[in-house]
Amino acid sequence: MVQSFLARIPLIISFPTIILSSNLIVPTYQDILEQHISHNINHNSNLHNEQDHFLFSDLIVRLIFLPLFASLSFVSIGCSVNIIKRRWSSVIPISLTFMVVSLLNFILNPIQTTVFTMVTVKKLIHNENNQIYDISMKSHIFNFMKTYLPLIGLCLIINCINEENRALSNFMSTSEPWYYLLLNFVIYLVLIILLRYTYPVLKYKLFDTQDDHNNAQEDNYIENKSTRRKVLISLILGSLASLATMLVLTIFYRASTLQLLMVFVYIGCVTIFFFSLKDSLIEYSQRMSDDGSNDQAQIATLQIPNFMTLIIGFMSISLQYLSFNKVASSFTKDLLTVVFVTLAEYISRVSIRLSYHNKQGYPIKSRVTSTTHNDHHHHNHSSQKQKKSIFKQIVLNKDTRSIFSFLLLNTTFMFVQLLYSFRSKSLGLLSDSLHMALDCTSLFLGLLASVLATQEASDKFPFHLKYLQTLAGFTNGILLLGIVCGIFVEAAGRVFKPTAIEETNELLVVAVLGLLVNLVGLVAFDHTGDGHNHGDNGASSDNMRGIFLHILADTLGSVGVIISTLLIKLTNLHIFDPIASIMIASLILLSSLPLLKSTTLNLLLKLDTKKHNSVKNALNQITTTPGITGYTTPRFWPVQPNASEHAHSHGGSQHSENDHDHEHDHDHGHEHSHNSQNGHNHHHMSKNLDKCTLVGYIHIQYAEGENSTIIKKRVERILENEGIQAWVQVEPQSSSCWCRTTSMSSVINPNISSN
Amino acid sequence: MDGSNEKQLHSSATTPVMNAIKEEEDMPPTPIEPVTSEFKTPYLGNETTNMSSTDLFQTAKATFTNSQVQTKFMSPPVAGFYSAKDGNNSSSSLIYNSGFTFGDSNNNGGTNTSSSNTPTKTVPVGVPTASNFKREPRRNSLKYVPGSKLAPPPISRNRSPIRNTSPEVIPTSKRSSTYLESPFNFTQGHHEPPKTTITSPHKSTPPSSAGSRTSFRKGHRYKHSSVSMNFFQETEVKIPLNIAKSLPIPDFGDILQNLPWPKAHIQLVIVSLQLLLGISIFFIGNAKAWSNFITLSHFITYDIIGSLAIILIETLSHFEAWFTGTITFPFGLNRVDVLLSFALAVSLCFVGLDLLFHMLEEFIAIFVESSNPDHHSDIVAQIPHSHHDGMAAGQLISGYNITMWYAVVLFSLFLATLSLFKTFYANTNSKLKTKNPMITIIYSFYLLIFPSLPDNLSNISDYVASFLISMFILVHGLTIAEWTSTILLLGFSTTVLPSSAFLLDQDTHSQNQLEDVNSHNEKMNNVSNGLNKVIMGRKRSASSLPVATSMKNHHCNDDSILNSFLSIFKFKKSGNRRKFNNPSNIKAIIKEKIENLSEFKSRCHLNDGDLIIIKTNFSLFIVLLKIDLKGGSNDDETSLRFAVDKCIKKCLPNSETTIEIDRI
Repeated sequence: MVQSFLARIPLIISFPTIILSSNLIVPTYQDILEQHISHNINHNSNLHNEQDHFLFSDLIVRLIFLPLFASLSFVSIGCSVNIIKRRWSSVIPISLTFMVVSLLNFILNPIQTTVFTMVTVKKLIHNENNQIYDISMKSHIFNFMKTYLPLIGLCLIINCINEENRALSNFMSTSEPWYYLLLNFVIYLVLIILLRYTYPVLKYKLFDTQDDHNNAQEDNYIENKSTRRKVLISLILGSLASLATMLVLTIFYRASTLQLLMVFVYIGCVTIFFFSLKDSLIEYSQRMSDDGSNDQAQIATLQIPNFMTLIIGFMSISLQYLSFNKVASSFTKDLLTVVFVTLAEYISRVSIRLSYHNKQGYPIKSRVTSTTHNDHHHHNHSSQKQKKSIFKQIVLNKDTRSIFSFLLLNTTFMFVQLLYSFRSKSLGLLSDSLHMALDCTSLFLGLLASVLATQEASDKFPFHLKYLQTLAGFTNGILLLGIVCGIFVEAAGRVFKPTAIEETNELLVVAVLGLLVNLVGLVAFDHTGDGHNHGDNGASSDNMRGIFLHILADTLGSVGVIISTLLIKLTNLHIFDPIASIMIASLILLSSLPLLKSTTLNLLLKLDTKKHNSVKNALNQITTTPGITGYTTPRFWPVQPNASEHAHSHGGSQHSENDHDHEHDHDHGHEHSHNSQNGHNHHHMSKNLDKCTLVGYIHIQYAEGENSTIIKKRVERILENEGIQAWVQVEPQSSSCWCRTTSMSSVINPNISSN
Repeated sequence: MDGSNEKQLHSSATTPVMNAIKEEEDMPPTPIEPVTSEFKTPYLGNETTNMSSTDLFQTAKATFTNSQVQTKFMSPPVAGFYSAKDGNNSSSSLIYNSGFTFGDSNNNGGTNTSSSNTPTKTVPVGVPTASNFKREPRRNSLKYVPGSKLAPPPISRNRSPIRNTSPEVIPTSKRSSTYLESPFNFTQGHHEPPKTTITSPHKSTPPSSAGSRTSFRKGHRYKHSSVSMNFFQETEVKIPLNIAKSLPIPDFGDILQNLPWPKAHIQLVIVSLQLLLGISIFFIGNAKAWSNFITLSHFITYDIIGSLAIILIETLSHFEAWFTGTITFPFGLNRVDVLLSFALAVSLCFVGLDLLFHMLEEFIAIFVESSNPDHHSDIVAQIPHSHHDGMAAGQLISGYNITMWYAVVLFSLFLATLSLFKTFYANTNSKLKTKNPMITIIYSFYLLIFPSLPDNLSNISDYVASFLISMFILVHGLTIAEWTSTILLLGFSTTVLPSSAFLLDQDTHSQNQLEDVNSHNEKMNNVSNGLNKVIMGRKRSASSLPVATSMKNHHCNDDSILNSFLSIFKFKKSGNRRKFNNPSNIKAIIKEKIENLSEFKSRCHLNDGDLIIIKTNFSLFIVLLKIDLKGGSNDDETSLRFAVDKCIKKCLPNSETTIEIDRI
């Protein structure tokens, strides 16, 4: 439950952010007005002279290229993440719809757009498939009106008394309000009609007959592959071209300047949106396939839950507040907006209840299965197979999943913060959000490592990647050290050269938000950490510890910022800022040192006492074995890194074993599919590394006259009993071998090779 | 075995002495006062190390009387220290104690009556003792086995020529426990590096007379000295291991005292100069608001860290714990080198990312400014390390300032170059390590041009320069991190292997052969005509295989850093190279070569998964094989093993092979 909610947070945040940032790519009229007012208080005439020229190009940008860019980039990202199928038939309607959405954005404000879209999408998902064709036109239109008219009415009311839009009408030199009202109404009508006709198409494309298509695709997939590539390339090219056109227009035709940062935020948010959507889809389909019997309970999770519209609406309101420092221009309008959002929630429920038939589960199911089918399809044939499976592994693994959702959340928050920093023009926040990007990178590293560690052995890594997680933990420790050093240096600078901190309010807001996000992350981590992870093995616990420390460091950072800002506000002493940073930095340092130590020892292949003893025992037994005169180079190292001291094993051995089995199964399946595909002879080590704790090699010298095979068997049995998998070289005492002619130290010593 | 190994043997002859060890030694009255002060030099450049093993042997004979002199290059036995560390006092401990001989084992070896079974003989494998006398395969540890199970002792043991040269040892060694009084003479006479005893970390080790006496009193040792006693040996007495349990890890004081004399000190001087320079640059930068200087000081700081790491590694590598495998650290400590290099690479990436983000920040700040130009100065002030002031600085640089600018930059350029060549390239595995001063050098060059740039250009140039530098840092750091992480993850790292070594006899053939290899990989399963063709092709290239030499020549001379930088722009070529160095290809080639051996061909089988090549540190490959042999005798097995071993050594000269042969 916590899981699925956590996974949904990025969706909730990113969706309004997409709408808002797409709106902000070209500065709003309000911004432009403000700027103009602040700029040219003296020369108003200038403004009017430029207006015609400005307006024309500006409208072109706003009405054609911006929606074009938004929808094309949206769809192309969706395609590359494989949410949207790469076929013209599915790409075109979706991009058209999104164009409509962003046109809507032009007329309405982001809050209203968000809510409208939500209502429509909810209707789309929850209504039954064939219903649209069955019901007569009349009742259908009636249905539509019932859904949208109240909303539109409220919108009109809000917009009518909206000064921002009056500013727009000023720009368009249409000062009469009724004209504006009429214009709006016409636009709405057009929209509804548009929606009415795109609606079935959309629905059809989204949900229906995917499987048939896919089956057809199986036959001539090469052809489809090329079309898929074509679709993707043309989409990307199209979005780039529209962006370039916008740039050209803004530079040469003096349209309002393009906000490239917002483009960045927009694209990032769309990416996150799709990733988290995919995340929940995959997880959902997995659950469906796991227990198909319990349909009813499952369906509820993918349906847009009841309060989703409300939540997203409020999220959008708060975003609006963050970026404009107000929701609407007056209190009544604020109130009306809230009413609007609530009404949308109510309407969406009512309209669904209208069409709430028995078969309501069907469309969703078909959609989900088609998605999985597509995944599967892709998995088999695309060159991206590797990446794909990594994503799936991340999502399907319980431990990594919550961390993945947290990563998405963190990234979303980063983008929101970027947006906010841009709006509030605060550079402190800007650098903070970039710092967050670094955090996200290291989180991602840890995540990637934990998934890659389950990969099968290859020629390059014959012993699997068992140490990868430890390495990731080590890397995270090093990065933490770097961060700490950075903080120390900066704090020292501030001690000697105190700088007054402005923007304390913004700082507080963001720090509190960041604290919230990080707390969510800690909860998510705790959730996985307690239940599943700690018992596993040293490797993953090292990795998880690295991730955990990162999140903890961030949390501490936000706490420090909050406290120091409050203290500064109260006392006006700026010394608190560096003091807080130094304290936090030393806390992070202290917590990361043990991590560094344990990972270092593990990477040096150190044996813990238990393993040490088992090696000793084995060697003792070997020496007492008859026929053996000696052994050389007994080198044994742990198959898996030792568990670190701090890892408390909650799960118990039983659990970890289960986990391990699961992983193994997965590996095997993977290899198998690979085999069937290429006829590749895959790497199968004759030694079975699963059951042992140590792996290594030893050379055994036997006395003349002994049978080497028997000696070898004996040694192998001894080693096996101690849990050691070893390569045993058996050699007669009289023969020579490198292990006896040279001391083994000298072989290793790196100094020598250079001489 | 051959020339390549010869040199390697000597390094271990002089391992540095640690503080703790010396303290231990000072306590007992040693027969010959060990010249402790001289022991401090672990530095390899002394005469003994430069001699070949045979030379050494001869000098040993010739200058036996002169042994005093030679002891200077050796540190005294330090067994007591280790035993203390382990806290294990009993003779029944698992570690073999070298001072301890078994009467019966002496007698059992029929041939070795004349030679002694001296304690040092039984020194564990990893111990450098043997290195001086590598020709004698006398290393076997298991002298002491309960009577019933006693295997015939190795003949090789008696061949120790050293023994004969040492007059003191021969008589005593037969009655093992009595000779304990003069352990030092013994070791000196034989040029045994004193550390040999280290590997037997037990109090029972006798090298210091005082220590030996106490153990004598305990009676443990006494018991073993009698042959008859051994027949009634209690079972719980454990047999000494052929490997050390653990070695002490040198602490900071040890490192300080054992800095290799001229080299490390020169490097330290450079580092301290850089430190001074870095600090002064930082303050100048702050005082004059030259943000470029602050960036430069960051780079210099990073250089200092890198140099210190290298000095540390170089010093550490002289300690025994560094290269001796023990049970606890199967490959010694020298993975620390890889680990540190990885850590440096990661932090380099961090620095690069940081710089990139600062860049982004300022870039974004431009947009912010453009929307409200009033706040310009405020905004700039808020950005840490802002490059914006650089523009103002550009105008500031004139007259006195400009000479100062150039002087400082030139000096930093000089120091960076010096440290690059004296520290970074002087280091053994420099190809696999970050070369930090490169960055400083490049940035210094940029700073040299900077004042002469026209004003409007200098606005952009800072961004461009720091963007390029940060990209360079990132690429360099990531490359190194990738290479080192392969080693850390116990992978088959092929980076130091020259691509030409395996695949090319002539450049023109390379493409052909690559295809061959690829096709081979694809058709791994069906042994068909195609495979034969491949094998033929391989044979040709194998004949002209100068791997061993080319590997040495190749060493660190090619400028990988520039290559990696340029490789951004020429993907194709680097991709090609990567194909050549693809571990699968190299493995396939080695496998084919093994399969082509005459010993192998007829009745052996080698699975693809049964040839495992990994790299555990910068220089050592580990090759693990499992071959099925149909029928055959012990001799067949041995000859097969020899052939395969030789074949592998040809490809990977510095490797430890373990060939497991299953006779079916």
